[in-house]
Amino acid sequence: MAIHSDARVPRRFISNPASMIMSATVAVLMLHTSPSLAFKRTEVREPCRNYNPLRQPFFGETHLHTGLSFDAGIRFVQPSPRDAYNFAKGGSVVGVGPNGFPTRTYTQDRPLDFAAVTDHSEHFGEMGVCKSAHLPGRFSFECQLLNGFWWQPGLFPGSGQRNLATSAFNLLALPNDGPSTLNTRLPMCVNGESDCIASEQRVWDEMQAAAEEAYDRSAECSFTSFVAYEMTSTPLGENWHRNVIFRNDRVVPRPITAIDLAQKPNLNPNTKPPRQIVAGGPDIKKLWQGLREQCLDAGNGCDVLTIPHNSNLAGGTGPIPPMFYDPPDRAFAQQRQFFEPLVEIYQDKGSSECRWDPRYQEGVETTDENCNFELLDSPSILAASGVTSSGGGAGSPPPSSFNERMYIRNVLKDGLLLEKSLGVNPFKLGVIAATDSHNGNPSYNVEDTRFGGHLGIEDAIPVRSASTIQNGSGGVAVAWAEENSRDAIFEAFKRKETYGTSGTRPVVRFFGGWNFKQSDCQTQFATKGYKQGVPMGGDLPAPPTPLPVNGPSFIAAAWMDDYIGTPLQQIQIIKGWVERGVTKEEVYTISGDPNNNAGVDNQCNRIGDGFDSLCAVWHDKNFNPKQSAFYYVRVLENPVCRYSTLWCQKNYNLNPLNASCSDDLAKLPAQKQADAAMCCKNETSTPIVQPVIQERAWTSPIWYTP
Amino acid sequence: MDFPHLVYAISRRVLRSPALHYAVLGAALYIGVSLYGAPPPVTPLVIPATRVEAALAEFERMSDHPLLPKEKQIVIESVIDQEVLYAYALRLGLDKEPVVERRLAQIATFVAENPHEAKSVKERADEAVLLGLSDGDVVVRRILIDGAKRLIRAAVLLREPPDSLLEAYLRDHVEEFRLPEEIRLSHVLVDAHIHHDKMKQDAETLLTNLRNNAVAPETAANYGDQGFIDANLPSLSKRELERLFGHRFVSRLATLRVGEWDGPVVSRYGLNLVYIHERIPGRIPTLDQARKHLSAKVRKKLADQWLAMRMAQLRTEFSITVGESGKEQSSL
Repeated sequence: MAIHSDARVPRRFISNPASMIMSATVAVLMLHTSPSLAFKRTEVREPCRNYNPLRQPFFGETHLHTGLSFDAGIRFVQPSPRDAYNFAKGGSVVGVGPNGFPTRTYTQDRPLDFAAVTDHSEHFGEMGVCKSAHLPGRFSFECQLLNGFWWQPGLFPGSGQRNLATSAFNLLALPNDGPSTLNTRLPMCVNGESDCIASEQRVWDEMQAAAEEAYDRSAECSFTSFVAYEMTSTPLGENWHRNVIFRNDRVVPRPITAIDLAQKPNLNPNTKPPRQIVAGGPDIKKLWQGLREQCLDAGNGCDVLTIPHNSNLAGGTGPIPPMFYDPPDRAFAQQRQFFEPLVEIYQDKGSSECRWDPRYQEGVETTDENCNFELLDSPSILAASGVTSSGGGAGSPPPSSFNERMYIRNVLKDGLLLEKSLGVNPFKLGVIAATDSHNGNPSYNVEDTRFGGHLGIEDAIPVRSASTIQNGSGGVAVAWAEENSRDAIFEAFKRKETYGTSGTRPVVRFFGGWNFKQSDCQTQFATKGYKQGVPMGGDLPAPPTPLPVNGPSFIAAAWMDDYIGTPLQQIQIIKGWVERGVTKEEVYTISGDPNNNAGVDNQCNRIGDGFDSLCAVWHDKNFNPKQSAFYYVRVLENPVCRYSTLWCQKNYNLNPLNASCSDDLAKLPAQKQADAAMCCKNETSTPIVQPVIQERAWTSPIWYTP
Repeated sequence: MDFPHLVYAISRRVLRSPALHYAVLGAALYIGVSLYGAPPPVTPLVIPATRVEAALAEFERMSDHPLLPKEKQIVIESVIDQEVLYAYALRLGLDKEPVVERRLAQIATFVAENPHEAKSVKERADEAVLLGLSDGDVVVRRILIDGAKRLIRAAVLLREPPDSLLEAYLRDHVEEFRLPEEIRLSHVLVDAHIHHDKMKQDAETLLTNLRNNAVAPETAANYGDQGFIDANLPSLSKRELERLFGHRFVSRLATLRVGEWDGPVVSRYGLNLVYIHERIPGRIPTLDQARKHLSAKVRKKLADQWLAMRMAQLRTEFSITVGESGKEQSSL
């Protein structure tokens, strides 16, 4: 629509006021009575005042732990689910300093639209006992560990406290990290089973109550919470974790946990070894079957989805296959596609999009050099979480050490291949990002010295060890929904109309179809996008006849996060397809300037130009209607300094951007040298650390199926 | 009925009283407990100097600077609190809890001449106490200290506060609960993707026209470029507006006049001409609207206050001295 030269002659006229009032009344009635709502209302609440049928981006967190998670409690983390939701709305929580004292305060300066607290469900019973005021088990040794209250001022130096926390984690977690065949609860729950069951219920109730308290059911729709938890299956250190997110307040009676995934129970865990692994690992189907029986088929409106994460730490070990293993049959593939519409592509523990290692000038089934972002050196969550005795790090394994299925782009490509044999694409995954912070501070994505690690005392000085410096401040989940309510956002998750960011909050829109034109960027293209095409997460409609010469067309636009203020550099479309039984990929820059020479000076000031916003229409001229394909958008911002660079500059006067960094480190007093040990690492060192990064966003793909 | 049970019973009774302000409640609990029987005799409590010194040294090392007097005081107070709680736990007999006895028995077995000798848990635990092993054990100390602290807090945490307390808290913390200010506006977009270098000039021209022709804000959708955001919005908080238009837009809102076309204002999508219909000041929610947040806050505050008061009271029940440096005291 062009601008009017004469404001007195508007292009469209409003009809008389009476008809306006009538329209408004009808609109309100429609919202109340629901038939015209774009989504199904499954709960009692007021309709949102801010409702947009063309949808709006809502920013939130889908993966967050509090002191109720056993691995956080051990690390002295205090905030509760209530504290976490309060933080999400712009509040503060206490954080753990390097000596174990709660000496830090984190404040959310960018309130969220939605959040799900996803504490580890495996030890809800144990945590409930330990946090209780009356159960005898609260005095047990395990509770001393889980609550972190064996700590005493002055008894151990700070590093000793951290090592003890790690030992405590090993003691409690390792017996439970392989629930393949036999597994167990902690002794206090074996010996006091009824207390433990009751406590598990209490913790689950508490999590639901906290979510309910935080949820705004009024017309303001200022905040949405989701009842959720994390299922933490970790066979032999393989990260098979899933976040389980419920649509509304009707949920399973008790969480289905990793322990329930065991192939057979351990009836006498005090005398039988808890850790036996059999080929195939835990039975993930038990999670989905349980959710179907206890939620979907419960007849009470319960609905649920599961979100896998950290495939970058799940490439398979011995008898345990990677997280994204080949489905044994079509039914499994269908189940997987149904329950897992989304995957977490990025979080505190690195990027799972793809891997290109600058040290080897080589990638894992890719030549895309932008896949060098936030890489972990370890293929195992045990090393990445500091569980190994060295506190993490795993040398610098070459790309050939990493299973291709550890990276989502490859998983998406293999999904196309599997669809040919199974008739179902088991890996039809939309994309979100999250933090996985264990500090009770959802979406605290600060890329500066405010970042105080993500796991209590473990990485309170994040630049101290190989594994901890590779932890970042995580990403944000974004859902395109009509309003800020549970139903609207949950349905956005289900239809994959989502994207993830590495922490900043750009707005990104992406539609695919057959007749987008470059001039559409000069219009409000969402109406056309929904009517004639599909948004991110959708399936391209069948091609028209005759097939357009230029193939399908895609419109992608991005607007920078003007709170942070980093300009955009470029929009890329990544295409994956199958050609003669072989998976392929290609990266296209469709807008912006990858050679804009933007960067930072050695004091981390941004230099060079970029773009406030970008938009382009791109045609796939190599389109073959007989080949399955997917297309997703990646938006790159101009370079900025990573938080670790700023940490080192501020706290140790070390500059990873200076050649003298290592020499300067050697001149520091011994204690400071130990604390700042990783400050001078970079993209060619071990561990790999990028002193300068390009924040980014990834959309869900749009698929084409012949 | 032992002491903690008494605390619980008293607090439960008092918490049922609807007329008390939450601060008064704490005082009542204090008085109630103080009046229960004769105050216990003052017990000497000697804190080994090495314990205080170690805590100070550790905190200083991790703080990376010499401790300020205030910081020093905080660390010392923390050590004293822990020692008082430990002694209090012993007085309550928490060291007779089976779990503590098991732990003590375990320690005694470590140092026993014949660890395989058949002895009961209680016998082993008594040996550990006789050998003075109980005081130095980290786990035992933490079990007792934490146990004492929880018993005190539990007196308050377990009860739902009455409405009168919630109302009082709401009155005293109005700003904490105040709903955000809202703004109702109409806007006209001049899209950056269309106007490029002429965006500012075109926006100013259009603004002049809107003003000169007194264009009704309800017709805003008929002007400018069609964007992703409705031209006429319901009243929204600044946070909602920031999500829709971006940070730069919201940071200018305070300077815009009500009841007339104003701008241009930079937004995520270009320049916007804005008509603010009204600014609705943040209102205070009703008790029912705020109840779920209030209840959690009040219980936590009461428990904190109650713990602080009990700590102050407990300190008066001990004659606290810090032992001389270099002379480790083995008993409390």
